[in-house]
This record gives sequence, structure tokens and C-alpha cells, in this order.
Amino acid sequence: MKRLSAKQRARIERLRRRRTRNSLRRKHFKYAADYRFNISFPEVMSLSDNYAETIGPIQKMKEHGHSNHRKPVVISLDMSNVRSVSAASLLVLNSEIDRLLARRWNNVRFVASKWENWLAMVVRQLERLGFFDLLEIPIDMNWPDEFLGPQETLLPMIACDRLMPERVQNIRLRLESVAEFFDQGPQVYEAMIEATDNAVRHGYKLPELLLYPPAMDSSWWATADYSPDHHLVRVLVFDQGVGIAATLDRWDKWELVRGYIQSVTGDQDFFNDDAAMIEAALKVSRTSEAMGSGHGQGLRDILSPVEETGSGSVRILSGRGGILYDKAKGVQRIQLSSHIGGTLIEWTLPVKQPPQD
Amino acid sequence: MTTTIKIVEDFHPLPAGRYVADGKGNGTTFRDDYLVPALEKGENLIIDLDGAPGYPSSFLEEAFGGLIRKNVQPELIRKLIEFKASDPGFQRYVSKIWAHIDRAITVNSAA
Repeated sequence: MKRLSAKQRARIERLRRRRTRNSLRRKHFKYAADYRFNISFPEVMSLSDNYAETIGPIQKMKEHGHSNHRKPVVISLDMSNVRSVSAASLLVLNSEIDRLLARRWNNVRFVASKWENWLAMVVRQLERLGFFDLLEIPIDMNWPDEFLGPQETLLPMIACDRLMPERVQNIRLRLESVAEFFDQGPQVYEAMIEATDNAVRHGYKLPELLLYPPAMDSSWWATADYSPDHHLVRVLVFDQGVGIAATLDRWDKWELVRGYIQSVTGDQDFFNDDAAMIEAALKVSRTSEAMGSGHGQGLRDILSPVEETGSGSVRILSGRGGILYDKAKGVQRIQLSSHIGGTLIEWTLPVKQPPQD
Repeated sequence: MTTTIKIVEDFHPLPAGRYVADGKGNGTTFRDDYLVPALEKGENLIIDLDGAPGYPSSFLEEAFGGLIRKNVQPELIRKLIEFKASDPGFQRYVSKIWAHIDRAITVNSAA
């Protein structure tokens, strides 16, 4: 074998290092990408008060992120206008970032545009949820009391791809540790298990109806927050499946759902109304105890924290519609201007007032 | 002979799910590994529900309603199984379990 001179060895070593460096650059996108998209979020990020403007940027993010550009895509997120955020909107946003990073990790990169200009309360909420961890932006700040937002404690988002009671129990225990007087009995555990079970079992079973590919076959995300000012906890579960209405015709109680719908109205358009379909499914789940195979009672469990304690509310947003349920007012339908991209279930439950000294 | 099964200690601390694929605390495993063998031996069973964070319907239905689908006689279930549920809010699980069993009987007899 030919013996290499010191100069040749140094050159080979230089080339090796350059190749390694370039490979690392390609892998971690240290170079400027050709496709850069700026996504600005509205002043009020809320699915109840400003749905269209909140979902719009998330929808744009999906379109760009899931597009088949050959070169890497950089999505620049600008929240400098945002003045208030809801836990539900942040969960939907964060789960989408998580999905894109899981599916297209070598083609999509997210950057926080001028995040030092973002409102501290917003940064704090995002930090708690794990937004900056996803974006790999290290933030280590001690937040002064004046920065506390209306939702003081938001738990880090958890992401799972199967039924995981340990994670659900973990959320419940963490909630109890921050909201000392939170005591809803066993119903919250049951409701969350059934919500995640529905996501895993039904949410992704019709892949041909999914607009974008799922992160995993049965992913769900969850978080919770505690508002001491309002003595409320919110528990949220989100999946990126096809929505409840789209899966109902596979349910063994579908004929009962159809019967209920036809008893309310003979109008065929009713079947295109997601809110009405969800309402019908809830009605059937709550009243058809003695019928069917025993499946499909999860929906009733989902309502049970409110139904059995008589306090709080459950909001289900799924597909293009949703319902809000509380014991006093019953079920109220919600029409959404666009598909939410899955199913979001939110329980808002009161905590006991701490004893006054 | 009477056997007591405390679910959170003898089976799983977090009962949830219907099928084996749903994790170790699923209803199918509880039914097949705990309930069916004891009932086949004719043992009196005390099922202690206390200590769990809760019992989702899917677990209860598969574990207890599933006994009927496994051709365990309803009379045998009523004769041999008792429940202990003294944690707050847990008494409702006993009525839920019997409702699952009754529904499974109705469905089975109609089939």
C-alpha cells in the first residue's frame, strides 16, 4: 500500500471533516432554506372567541409544512401581536408543530420570529406547554408575578400514540398538585381514558378522509391548566383524526343515531351538520344503555365529570362542528367555520374554594 | 372458599382499556386471567374496587359484560361475585357492572 505523505493525510482529514460538517449542516438545516413562510397569529388566540383567525394560521402552517417542496421549508412563527391565548388554541398549535416535526423532521424547521418582542405572558404560557422545547429554543427564566396570565398554570403538553393510563393519571396528579382543592372524584380519569381511547380506536381509522398524514397511527395530545382567579381547571385532549361525525356510520348504534336524527328532522342536510351528528351520538350514547354490543359508551363517560357532579362544562369540537354541554343548559351546538383538524375535548371544572383564614 | 381480588394490587393500579393491545390493565386480561378461572373453580369472589383512580366503561364492560360473551352462566356470576366499593363515588361502579352484565345477557339472548 502506498504510504501517504503528511500533507496528503492532512488533506484527506480536511476533506473528511468538511464532508462530516456538510452532512451535519444538511441534517440540522444550518443553511438558509429556499422556502420560508411567515405565519402571524392574531391578537386573540381563542377557539371560542376568535375561531376563524386562530385556526387560519394553523391551517396555513399545515399547508406549507405538509407540502412536497424538495428543499427544506422554514416556517417562521410570529406571535408579536398576540395579547391573549387560550390553552385549547395552544394545544392545537403545539400538536401540529409536533406532528410536522415527527413526520417531516428533515424537511421542516420552525423558528420563532423575534420572540423577544412577544408578550411575556404569552411566552410564559408557550414555555409551560413545551412550545420552545419543540423549537429547541432554550428559555430559562424566573417569571415575576406581574407576568402571570389569567391561566396561571399550564401543564406541559403530553403526546402519546396509544392508550396510556399512566400519562392520564400523571396529568390528574399534577393537576391536583397545582390546584390543591381540585377533587372531581374518579370521573375525570374515566373521561380522559375514554377520550384518548376513542382517539386511538376511531380517530385515524379512515385514513382516506385525513387531509394530512398523522404523526403516528393513533396520536393524541393532552394538557391541563389551572386558573386560581376563576377557581377552574381545564383538561384538554386533542387528536388529529377525521372527527366524530365521520366515524359514526361505523358505530353499531348508527341506526339509532339515524333514527334520532330523523325523528328531529327529516332534512337530509342534517347529516352534513357535524354539530348535530355529535349531539345525536351523545343522545344515543346516554339513552341506549340496554342496546348494542357494549361499545360506544365512552361518549357518556366523557360527559360524566359534568353529568354526575352537576358542575362545569364539556366542550367537544370535532370536524366542522361541536357541542358545549353543561348540566343546566344541556347540549348547545357550535358551528365552526372550518375543520378543526381532529377532535378537541375540553372539560372545564370548578375547584373548591380554599378555606379562608 | 372465598377469594378476594383487589384490582389495584392483584391486577393493575391503573385499570383501563378493553383489549390486550390497550396495555396491561385491560379488561380482557382481567376477565380471562382472574375472573374466569376463579368462576370455573366455583370460588366465591370478592372484587375489591377501591384504590383505583377510576374504572372506565370500556374496562368494566369487557371484564364483566365479557363474561357473558365467554359463556359464563349469569346465575353463576350473581351467585359467586360480590363487590367491595367503599371509596367515595365508587358504589356507582357496582351498579354499572351489573348493568353491563344485564345488557350482555340481553344481547346474547337476542343473538
